[in-house]
Amino acid sequence: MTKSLVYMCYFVLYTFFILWFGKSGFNKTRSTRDFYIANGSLGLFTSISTFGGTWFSAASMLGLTGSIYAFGYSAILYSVIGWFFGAFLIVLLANKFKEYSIVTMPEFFKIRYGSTFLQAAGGLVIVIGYVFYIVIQIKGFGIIMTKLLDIPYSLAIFLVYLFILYTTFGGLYSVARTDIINFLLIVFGSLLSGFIIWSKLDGLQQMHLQAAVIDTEVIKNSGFYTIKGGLLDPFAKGLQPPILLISSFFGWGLGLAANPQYAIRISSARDKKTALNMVGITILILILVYFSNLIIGLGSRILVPTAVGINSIDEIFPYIIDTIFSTHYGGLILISIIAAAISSANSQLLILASGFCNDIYKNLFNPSINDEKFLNLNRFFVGLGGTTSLLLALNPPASLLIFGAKIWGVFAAVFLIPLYGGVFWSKATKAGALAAFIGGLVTSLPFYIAKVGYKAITPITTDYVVNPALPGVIASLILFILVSLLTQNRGGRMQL
Amino acid sequence: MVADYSWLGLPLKTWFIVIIPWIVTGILPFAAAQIIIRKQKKVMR
Repeated sequence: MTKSLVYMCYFVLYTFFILWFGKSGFNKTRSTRDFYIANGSLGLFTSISTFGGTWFSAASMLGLTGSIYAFGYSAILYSVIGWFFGAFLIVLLANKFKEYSIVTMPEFFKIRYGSTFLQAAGGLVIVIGYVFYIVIQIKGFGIIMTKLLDIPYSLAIFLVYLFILYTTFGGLYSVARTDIINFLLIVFGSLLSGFIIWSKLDGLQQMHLQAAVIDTEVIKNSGFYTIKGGLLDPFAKGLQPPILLISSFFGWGLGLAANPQYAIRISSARDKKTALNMVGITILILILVYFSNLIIGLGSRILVPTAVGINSIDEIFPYIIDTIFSTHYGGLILISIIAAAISSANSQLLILASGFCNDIYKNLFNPSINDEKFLNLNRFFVGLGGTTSLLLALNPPASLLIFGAKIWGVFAAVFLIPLYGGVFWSKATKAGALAAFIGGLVTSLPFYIAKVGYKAITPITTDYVVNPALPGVIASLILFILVSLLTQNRGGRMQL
Repeated sequence: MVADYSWLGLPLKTWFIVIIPWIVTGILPFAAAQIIIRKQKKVMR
């Protein structure tokens, strides 16, 4: 059987399973609570699957693996450690957040602070942020489909519609059911890839000794060379300096902690214990999965010191699959990368639709809209949001990992302080939350627009030396505390 | 040379700055979740 035919078989099989598992959501979804949070009914296994499936996106599967290939251990410091710390903050949040009866994260701002404006502004940030973030998943999907079906990228990304629109139309019931398949594929695909690469190496010590002497060009004709010893150095021998890594923590780590796609999973879990275990157990599983990614990235660099015929580090993992893996394993692993992209994209489209429909439209203009009309509006917006992301994905970002850090940096700058401050600080006021939200946005925005501190790290990667989330979060925190204290006696304080 | 101080071929600096924080932050959410669940059980009693 030819390679294309084997890949096609895997793809057809995957499509069948997704269609089968996704269809139940259409019948079960009757209300907004069903559509957004599965009526807060998800058990532990389903919660872990959908939390893990949403977490492990194309940025993890393609972006991180490619970055480890290029930068070695410093790529872990750049992303994974911040992500895990963000998960720790989510656990702390889950305990109290679960007590609020909400279907979207910005709705918390309305209940806690009594601010319709803050809910609507939060919804707007979510719509804009996720339209861009879904581009990551579409690009990841496009890269893989190009390999699987041997079709052009621009055509490949249109196929993403089949999956993300179908699974998202059924609401969280559909998303969660398909995420069970997707997360199992992600874990299995990652561990299998790691095992295959590991079997070609001579143990951990030899892998490190061999990686230590690599000083080749990362991608042929890119002009980007690894510095000898850089793959094992926490700062890649200066390519990823400490200030870049520390400030990326604000973008990735705190952005994750304030990210609506994770916060709302707390609401969809059956009870508080399920929500807490969901986060804790998923991260334990992800320690293994990311270790596997490390083996894939570093081991591949030893086996193939220079990648040939590709344009970005996001294409390195598929290139390695094509070069090193047998056709049968390769097909399965490529499908697991698609699963990573789909399982994140459908959750993100759901959040995107809720940002407009619930937090802006229903909140500001039509609070009494009936459930049927509202669900249809959500489905329409899922289509509109998906289409916009698709058009943006025709001109994709150079690095998924760096692009993701920028978007999550915005979430950190605007949501983190009003969210955690509102949950944990009884003296927090509406005026303080508004000041934190606007202050965080206004402080970080010039960095994005004027690209302050945005520099070429290597010939193929450009990043902020100081992630805009760093000044954004600091300004947001200062304003939150000062304005809350100053407005204490003006009726702004709410007792928890 | 830093590389001289290594374990399993990996510089000690990388063990301390990358590997240990990676494992600690990975276990932290689960540990925190169990502590919170136990505390709540005690309160319920």
